[in-house]
Amino acid sequence: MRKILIPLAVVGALVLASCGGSSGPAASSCSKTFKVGFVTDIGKLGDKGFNDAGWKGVQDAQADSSLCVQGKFLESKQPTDYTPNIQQFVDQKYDMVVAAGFLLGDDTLKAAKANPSVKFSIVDSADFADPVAPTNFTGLLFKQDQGAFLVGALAALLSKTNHVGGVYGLDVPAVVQFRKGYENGAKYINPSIKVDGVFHPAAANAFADPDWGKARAQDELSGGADVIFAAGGATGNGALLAAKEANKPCIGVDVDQYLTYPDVDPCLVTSALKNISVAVKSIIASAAKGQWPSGGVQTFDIKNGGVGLAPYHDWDSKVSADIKTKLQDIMTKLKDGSLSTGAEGLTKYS
Amino acid sequence: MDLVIEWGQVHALLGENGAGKTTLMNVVYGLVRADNGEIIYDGSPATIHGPTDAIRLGIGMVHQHFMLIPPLTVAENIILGHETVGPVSTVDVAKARKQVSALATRYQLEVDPAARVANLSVGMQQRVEILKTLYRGARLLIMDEPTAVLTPQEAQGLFEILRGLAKEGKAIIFITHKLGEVIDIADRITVMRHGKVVATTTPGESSPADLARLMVGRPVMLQVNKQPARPGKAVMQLQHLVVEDERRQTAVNGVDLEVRSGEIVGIAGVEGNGQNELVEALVGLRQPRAGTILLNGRDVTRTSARTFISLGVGHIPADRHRMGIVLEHSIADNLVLATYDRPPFASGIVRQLGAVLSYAKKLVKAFDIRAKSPAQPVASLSGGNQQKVVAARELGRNPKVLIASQPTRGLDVGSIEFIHKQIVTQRDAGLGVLLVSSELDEVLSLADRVAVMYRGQIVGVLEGKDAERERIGLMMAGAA
Amino acid sequence: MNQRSRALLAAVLLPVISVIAGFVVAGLAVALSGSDPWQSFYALFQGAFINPRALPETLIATTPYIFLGLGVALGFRAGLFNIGAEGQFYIGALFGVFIGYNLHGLPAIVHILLALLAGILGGFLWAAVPGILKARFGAHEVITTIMLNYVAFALVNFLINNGPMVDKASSAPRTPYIDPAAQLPILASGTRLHAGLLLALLAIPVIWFLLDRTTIGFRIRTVGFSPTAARAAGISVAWTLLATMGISGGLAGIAGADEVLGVSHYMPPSFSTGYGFDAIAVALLARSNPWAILPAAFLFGALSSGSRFMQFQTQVSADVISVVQATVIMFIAAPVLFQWIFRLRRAPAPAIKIASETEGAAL
Repeated sequence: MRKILIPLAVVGALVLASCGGSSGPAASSCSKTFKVGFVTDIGKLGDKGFNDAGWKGVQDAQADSSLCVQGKFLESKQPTDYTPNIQQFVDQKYDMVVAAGFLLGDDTLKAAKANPSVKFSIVDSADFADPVAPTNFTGLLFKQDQGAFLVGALAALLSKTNHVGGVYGLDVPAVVQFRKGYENGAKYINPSIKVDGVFHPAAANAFADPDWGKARAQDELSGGADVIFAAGGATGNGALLAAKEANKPCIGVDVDQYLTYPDVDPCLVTSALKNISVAVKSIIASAAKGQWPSGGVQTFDIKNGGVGLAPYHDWDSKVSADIKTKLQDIMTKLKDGSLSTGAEGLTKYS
Repeated sequence: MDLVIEWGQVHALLGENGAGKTTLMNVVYGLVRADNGEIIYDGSPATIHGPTDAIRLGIGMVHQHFMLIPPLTVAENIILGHETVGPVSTVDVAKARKQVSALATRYQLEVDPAARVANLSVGMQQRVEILKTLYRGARLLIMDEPTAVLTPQEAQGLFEILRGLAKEGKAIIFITHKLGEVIDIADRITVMRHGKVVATTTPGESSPADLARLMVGRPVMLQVNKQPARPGKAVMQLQHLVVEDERRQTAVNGVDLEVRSGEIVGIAGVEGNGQNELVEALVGLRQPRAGTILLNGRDVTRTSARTFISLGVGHIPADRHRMGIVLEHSIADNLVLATYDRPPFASGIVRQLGAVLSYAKKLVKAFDIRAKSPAQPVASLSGGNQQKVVAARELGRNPKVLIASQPTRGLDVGSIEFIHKQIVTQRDAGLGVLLVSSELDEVLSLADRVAVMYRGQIVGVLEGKDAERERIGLMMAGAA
Repeated sequence: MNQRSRALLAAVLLPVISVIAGFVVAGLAVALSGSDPWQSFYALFQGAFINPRALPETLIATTPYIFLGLGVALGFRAGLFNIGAEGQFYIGALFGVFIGYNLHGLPAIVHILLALLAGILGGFLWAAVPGILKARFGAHEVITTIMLNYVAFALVNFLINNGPMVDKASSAPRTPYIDPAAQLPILASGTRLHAGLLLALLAIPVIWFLLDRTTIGFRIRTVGFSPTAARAAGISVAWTLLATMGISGGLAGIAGADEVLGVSHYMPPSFSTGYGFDAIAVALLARSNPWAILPAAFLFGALSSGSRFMQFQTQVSADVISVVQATVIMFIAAPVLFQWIFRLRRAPAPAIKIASETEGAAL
């Protein structure tokens, strides 16, 4: 019997690893299904970030029986998988391919040009080399700076020390906009406020380094900051944990982290939402219904609900009506365009 | 196979390497399980599943390599595993010493129970091993090649002890391949060949030549036939050579020696007196700390093994498997191990396998290497044929001087005979030979001059005709 | 069982059994994760050989495995365990992409050659470091090559991620695209199959010849079998180890450059996730025989490319494929297990010997 012990241990480990998303067929009332392929970046599914959120958008679209969508995913193990993974869906006569994240930008654009009858959409990228995008291509962009501006203002309003902090992942454009938006929002409330911030220095684990995130947040807290905003996947989660342990308010990012990271619920005031799944579902719906947008870009902002503030949950009673009013006012001004975050479309932090 | 051992006798188990002597004794000691057959011990069948059973039955074994712990004292080594425990679980050292002393006196095995094993000579360590078995109540003692590490005088001392033990009624199994010892010590002799007992006899009934014939299965020349040497110019000269060992201790301490063409210089000495380091220095594998090595008058002291080889130094290393051959390579590849990259075996970086093969065929024939084909792995050959491969390679490239270290260790009589003949033939053709051997018989029968090495120094050089066993033995022990 | 048939068994049957055992265990994993193993493996097969572009994709994935497998195998033959192939692959790709995007206006053949040579040089230099450390100071190459992997990853990260080699025109962290003249020609239109495959196929006889027919190869094998005997025969063990490490690294380097010139045409920071480590399994499976690298690499290439369609069909995690590979490695690396299972008395010649010290038999 001894000889099969080792393999079984491997199997056990694998079963745990392989329980992931799967997809049911589209509703049976459909005369024709709209087939959507989802290609992850090298973070693969289970990253609680881009890839999971994007796939959730596909699943949400599939769950909407009126759309008749059937979705499948392919995970990329290395960058050279992007092209063949996209091609796999094309070869299997899929109607649409959704790519998770700007790392797939080049490969998605190339595939879009080569396969005009297939629709392509990509999260967080609208990077086309030509001035005009192919008509079958739509990049999904987010005005993350708007959500960040709001939580920046909130942080400044909550701060007693006149000093707030932020911990970020890699300094890619989306994260740069988060940081700048947050800083400008805080300064909008209080021009003399001190705002700390730090980007993760390395690419490989920039969004997966909670220890680093925690240590940086602790640095900022001991330096006098009394509110922490974290925008950097698992790295940011480490920063949230530091705030919780220090008993200081913290602010999450992308999704309502009250629901996804319950460990920090006591400190989590709100999260700067970036509704990737909403955006993905929305573009799939448009495509399935034959309402494909032109122009190559769809922007999700505070007006159409693509970005915003998550509910306050436990903090609802602790955030004063005055603060809520001020935030409501900012939100209105951002929506009607009378207020600018100063961080819109920023690609480099300065 | 049947073997009957009587109480009160020294029973020699004689056979060539690989004849099955040690395997047989390992069965008796419980280290190896027999496929079938049984052991009758003291009149009744015995089941021996391990050394514990053997020890319980009163069987003790002294291995070729001692199983002692050097930093511990003699008494501690002896009682190890059978400690007399005093109050509060401490080892009662005083009592142990007393017991060991009593035992030593009784069997005339004088050894200081308080001495550290690390400080004892090899001969004394062997006594400790014997005492250890006696302490455990051994009545049957198995001695595996006990004289391999001893000087002739130490060997004589051991024989005295063994005779004494036999007189006490103990039985002793004495494993050896040396004919002379057998005649000296044994009451009965069992000769083994290819795992079978071929004869059981006594020293009175059989001459050394008879025993050799039984061992090998054919008549054997025991003496090396050779003409007096006609030495020429010095081919290798050593001046005040100092060489260190791995631990940076001085192992060779100011050796002056010269090897002339057409002579065999033997280095006698108990193993571990600096011979290995000397040999390694003489073939360029170890940088001397001081002194000079001249090859045909040219200073090669700080060059590489490659230079030594290219200047005509041949080397038969003591450790065949580690340094002499590459087991996984073919016979042919082993035969060109040092010349693989020279014409005609290579042109540029491309090997010329045809040339290698035809050269190998030639040597296989000339050196009587028993193989089906030169392409077969050298690992498939017997030890004797492997050693012939080494000799063929080294002599085949016509060296000016040959450094031969234990060239016949572990070989059967037939192979020994062949290699000795080759060395003498090459000597007659003008080769200078430095022969290092711990087998005094080998040195005495081959060497034209004998240098005795003791503690890293040459303590004397004797012309072959003056080289008497006794005198050399004393010098080997540092007593002259 | 006689010598010959036992040798045959060791060389052919054991790897085949290992692979089958790997599939059995992986099949169990698939079944436990709720899919049908037969259907999954059929999809794997389709995705590797049958579907449109399947075979070309398999061959694309085979190419780096051939180069890297040869490199690791060469190290094994000298008794070196080069775990640094992944890092050398990265540095080779880095050097290759640097030449690829910085030079313009060269004839394709010149540009490609220069970029490939740069890749070889990169891998060579990266492997020479542990080679020197081993030869000069006896530092164990397993430790040093592993550590240098991390240095390579970090260096690539630094250079390509907002560092001096980043494409400022792109929002994604990657180098600029290489000059079109540096791209390896496509062998079959409509596929990504590039001429690198031919180079890899050419490398097999070259490495075989190097090992079996040249004095360098003889030195490598002799040192691998017995460094002490090699030394006694006047072979410089240090030099041989250094040269072997360098050539091994050069092969890993050309694999990296080839991947850039043939497949991606640019280099992102996380360029490969394990080609260099898988290559250790390829070399083990091939028992370090250059010819046997081809089927072993082809198998790994097929697993890698077939896994795409298998995931497409079953939506099971691609990690299942990793289990097949891991099980194969496990069964290869544990020949003792097989001897035990099949009652093989004698061990087949080991594929690796880190310290080969055969003591003389004392009888």
